[in-house]
Amino acid sequence: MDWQAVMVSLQLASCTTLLLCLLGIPLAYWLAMSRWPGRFVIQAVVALPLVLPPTVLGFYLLLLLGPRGPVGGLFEAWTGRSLAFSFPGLVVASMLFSLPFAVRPFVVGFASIDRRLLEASWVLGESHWGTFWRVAVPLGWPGIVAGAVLAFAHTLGEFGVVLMVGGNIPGVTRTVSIAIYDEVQAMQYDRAAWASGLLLLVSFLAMASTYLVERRTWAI
Amino acid sequence: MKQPLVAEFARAFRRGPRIEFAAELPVDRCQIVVLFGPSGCGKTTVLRCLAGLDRPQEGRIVWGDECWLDTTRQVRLTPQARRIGFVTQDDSLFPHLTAAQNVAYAVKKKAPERDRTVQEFLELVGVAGLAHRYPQELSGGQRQRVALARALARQPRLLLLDEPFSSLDEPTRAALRLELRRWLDRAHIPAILVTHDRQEAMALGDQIVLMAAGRVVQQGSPAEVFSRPATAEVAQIVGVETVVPGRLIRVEQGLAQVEIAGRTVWAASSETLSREVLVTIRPENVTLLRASQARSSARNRLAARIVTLQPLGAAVRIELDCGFRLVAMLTGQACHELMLEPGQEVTAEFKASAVHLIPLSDAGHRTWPEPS
Repeated sequence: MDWQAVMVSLQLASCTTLLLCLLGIPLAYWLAMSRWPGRFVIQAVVALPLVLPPTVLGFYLLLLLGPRGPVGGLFEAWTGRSLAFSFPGLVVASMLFSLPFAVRPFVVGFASIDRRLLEASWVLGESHWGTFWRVAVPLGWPGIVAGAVLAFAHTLGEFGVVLMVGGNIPGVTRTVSIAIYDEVQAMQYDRAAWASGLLLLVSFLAMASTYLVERRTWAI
Repeated sequence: MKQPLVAEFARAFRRGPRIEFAAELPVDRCQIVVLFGPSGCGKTTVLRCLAGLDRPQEGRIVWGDECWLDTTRQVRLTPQARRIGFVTQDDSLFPHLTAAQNVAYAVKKKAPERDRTVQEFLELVGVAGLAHRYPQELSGGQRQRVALARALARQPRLLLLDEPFSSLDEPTRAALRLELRRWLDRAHIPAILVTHDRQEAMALGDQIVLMAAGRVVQQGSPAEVFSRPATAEVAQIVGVETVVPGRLIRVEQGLAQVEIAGRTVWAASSETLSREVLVTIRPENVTLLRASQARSSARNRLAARIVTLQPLGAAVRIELDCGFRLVAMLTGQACHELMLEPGQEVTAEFKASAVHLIPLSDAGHRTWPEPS
């Protein structure tokens, strides 16, 4: 098995999940609580990667992250390095691609909280931020766990976007899923079997754990 | 704060009702101000606007020198900044916290002192033994007690109660009603209570603000609002027209003897009531006889004089003076047959079962007008 590819995949999934939690949880809280009528536009943008072919997303990301793209150009001006075909670029692409897998369970988790509980907290003098930590997070945590696990598992398994944006650089952007593809192309089925088995196992554990958590949600 | 809460605001819902509330709520001199009205009249919305949880499109809410809302000046105080307590029907306890943790939620004190405060308020509402239970392990009545303790423990300046007992069974509701006044008194906190329950409004309100179709239609003491409805609309909402304070003399074999302005009235009642009670009689349960007519089986039989006769469609509303003010509702036909006219002496009859007594938990608080 290509352990270097496994390590890249794990690093990529961890970074992506962590950043998605940092950005996605506040976004999801806002989506669940807001009554702004234009909210549906944001919801649609978040859900877009679910239906968009990875190649389309990868193509636009390449334009965006490339040396002549707005984001890639800025990154290169600051760091002197290219964002496309690099690990940071891969993280940005993965975050976008896994966005709905994290944010949608987060939203479901927060939306399941009775709004009266949040109102009770506000009236008791607790700020919005304090209410978020003391009521929304403890009550919405099954959704948060589900979103994080799904984002992790989905990032581990992504292929198209990684290939478009990251290329196939061993030790940098070559992930397990790409390694499997290469091994199958090279007729090395036994190596591909081990890596595939590993991904299957991790994915199953991820899904099983989310359903396990879901069973234990708070209920009156 | 020793000032009334002045609120004038409008809250419109798209494809829904428009609520135009305007009242001076005397929370400075009343323990409990009741917002009373039929379901859907907008009283809950008014309470939510007072709490800052709902936004009126226009208007202002002012308490003394503090402005909570003024749409012309873009002032809108957050619910946090209003320093109030808010208790709703049910399910507002945090399910992931125990009863004690719920009460401690808003107590801004250090550990040992905070625990003392929590214990003190749990004891006040009589659930000290359930401190470590989670809300789902408590009964509905216990949950509401904890919710009240939580609201009181942060020492609000005003308590807003939105039908706090309506999801409870009748015995629990009656018990909590009697206790609520004692707790508020102990904590020195005035309250605004929303209810559609007539008995609750009469038993708890020092002042009644009556709402219908999004507006305030009458405001006054319970006796004024319930026995002197300003309009036919109000009369229809309040239903009972005779509400007079009385003194319970004794209860024997399911009959309570009550003295009202020197007259004796019998009520069917087996409960142990407080000494001071409100006596309510629905007008359609009172029948009138010419003084000479034979006696029926009705337990109550009082000599009365007709004050006014007021035709209301097919029925006639008759105000009587029998030492206290009694209202009867007769059909036009019956009035005609009896040849009733103002000033006439008649006998008013009603069964003991038509007399309903409402216990007053603490008569010392109230100032009832002398029966006329």
